[in-house]
Amino acid sequence: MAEDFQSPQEAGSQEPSRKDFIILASGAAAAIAAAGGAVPFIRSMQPSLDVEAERFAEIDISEVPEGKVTTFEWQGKPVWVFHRNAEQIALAANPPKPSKDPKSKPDSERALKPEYLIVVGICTHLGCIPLYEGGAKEEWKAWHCPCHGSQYDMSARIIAGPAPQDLEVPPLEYLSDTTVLIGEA
Amino acid sequence: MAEKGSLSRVYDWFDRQLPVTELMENHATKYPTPKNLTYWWNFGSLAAIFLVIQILTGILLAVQYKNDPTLAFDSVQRIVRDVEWGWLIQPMHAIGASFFFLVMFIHLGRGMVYGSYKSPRALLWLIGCALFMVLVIAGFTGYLLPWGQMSYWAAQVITEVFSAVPVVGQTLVEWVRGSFVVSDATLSRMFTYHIVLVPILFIMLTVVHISALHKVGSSNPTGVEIDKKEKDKFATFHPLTTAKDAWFGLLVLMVFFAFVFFAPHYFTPVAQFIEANPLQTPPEIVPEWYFLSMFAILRSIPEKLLGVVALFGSVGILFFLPLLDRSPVKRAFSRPIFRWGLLLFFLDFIYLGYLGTKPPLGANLVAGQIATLYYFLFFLSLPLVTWLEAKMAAKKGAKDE
Ligand code: HEM
Ligand code: FES
Repeated sequence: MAEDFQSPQEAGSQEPSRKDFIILASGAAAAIAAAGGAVPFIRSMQPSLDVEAERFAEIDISEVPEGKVTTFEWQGKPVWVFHRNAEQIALAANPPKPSKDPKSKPDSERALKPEYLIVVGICTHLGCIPLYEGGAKEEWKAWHCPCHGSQYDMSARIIAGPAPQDLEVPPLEYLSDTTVLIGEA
Repeated sequence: MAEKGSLSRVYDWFDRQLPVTELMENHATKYPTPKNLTYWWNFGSLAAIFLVIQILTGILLAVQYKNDPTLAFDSVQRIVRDVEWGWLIQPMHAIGASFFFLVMFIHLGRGMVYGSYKSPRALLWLIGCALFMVLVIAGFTGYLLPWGQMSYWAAQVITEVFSAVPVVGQTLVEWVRGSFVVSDATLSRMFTYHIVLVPILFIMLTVVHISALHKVGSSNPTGVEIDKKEKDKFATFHPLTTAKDAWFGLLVLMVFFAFVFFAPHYFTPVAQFIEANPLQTPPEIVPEWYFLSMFAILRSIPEKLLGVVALFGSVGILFFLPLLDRSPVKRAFSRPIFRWGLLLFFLDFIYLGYLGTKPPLGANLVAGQIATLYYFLFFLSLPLVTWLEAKMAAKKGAKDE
């Protein structure tokens, strides 16, 4: 059978035959076509346009009481606005313990305005929502995570526990003194 | 010869066009099974029984269930309270999942004790591992559907695991969830995987699993392969195995129904009776019992990426067992080192499960790390164990002479 496709010269030679070439070439073409064909299937599982529309949120922070945290929603995630009092600002600026996050930034870079710390309220360990305790147990500690015990300070930096990073400061922009746009194109 | 009845004429009509008799004879009435199989060889058929239960009850649940975050939780409560016989169907499926896992662990453990993963059954073992992965996916996707607090947060934690992947992590998480957090999009896809993808894979792989089994035949408790020609050591599948499978199956089903009738929520944590709330984590997130050991492995490693690698590795390493253990001795009891190593491995696995229920702090964290280390060491040391055992056997051989 196989010989039918080979010229007499090819039959005995070690060189790749015309048949090998055709098999390889058509195989490669089929693989590329299959990969291309898979794109729509894989892409269809990405966030859809209506979900994408939630990439931005505009929030009004004027109502957040001092010394308290208010939760807003952005991309279905909780965003905390922590309206800090003078004492809390001082604790955040001079943390008693260093952050475990090697890329940790000082409080002045985390809170654009020192009174308002705005962070995504999702534990960087495995995505639980830490609970606010506002210095009630230890004065530096603002949150602890109920899932695996991560502890965050007044600037929402990771001080102890399994979480690798400080709570994320979302991309934000003050549109006015009291309105903030959260999200990034 | 007597005139053929109409029933057998119908049968003949089928048999002429479909290999009915051939299949029945090859796979049931004349299929040879070793006479000396113990009840440990019953767990494969038990797995098949639970697969059938899951598929049947699952179809009925899917008829009533609503895969929308605003309706899902109530629709499950409605099935239990308002749908005729729903009180039976829903717990059968939920308790069935636990029993399926239990049966699977024993089936897998039997394979490890009797070297079922060795030649000529290596491929059979690999197909089994694939089936186990499907079961894990089934358990994970199914748990989200009732949309309780524990459903939601378990899904949140497990999908977040992909964020540990370097560079593309966040994109991958969004791709898996179909949104930024577990949401409507996530529920719809998990539902689809659970009721379409999972059953298709289960059925296909089970057919391949049984085909591979019937090609190479069952092993047996002695660990020594029986020659096909030793006819007196085999009995036909029917009636020996069918009878044994049926009575043992009924025995296990009695225990199963005891749970279904008298403790339908035995495995359900309290938080599952609260509707999912994306902005409120329950005080404690504990997975179902059958994921506890894997959960403990994930948590005992403080480095995120390594923890995730260990999590997937703990299941993935099963695929490499035929490669890691090249000892020709099949039966664990006949191996001086392996038998203790394996016993310790089983205890280690149970202990990890226990640790999975405890917060990973202080002594528990260290214990979890040691147990995780042993889990992997057991597999990775197999080439060494095999080599040592061969030496011991050679020494003993020399002494005996
Ligand atoms: C849906 C899941 C499964 C079903 C329905 C199933 C079914 C069966 C059945 C009916 C048998 C023959 C009876 C017996 O030896 O117990 C068998 C044998 C076997 N199964 Fe499975 N199985 C499943 C999953 C697995 C898994 C997860 C593994 C391991 C990773 C596995 C590995 C094996 C091996 C190696 C044998 C041959 C045992 C021997 O003769 O030594 N199976 N399976
Ligand atoms: S998710 Fe917060 S500590 Fe693990």
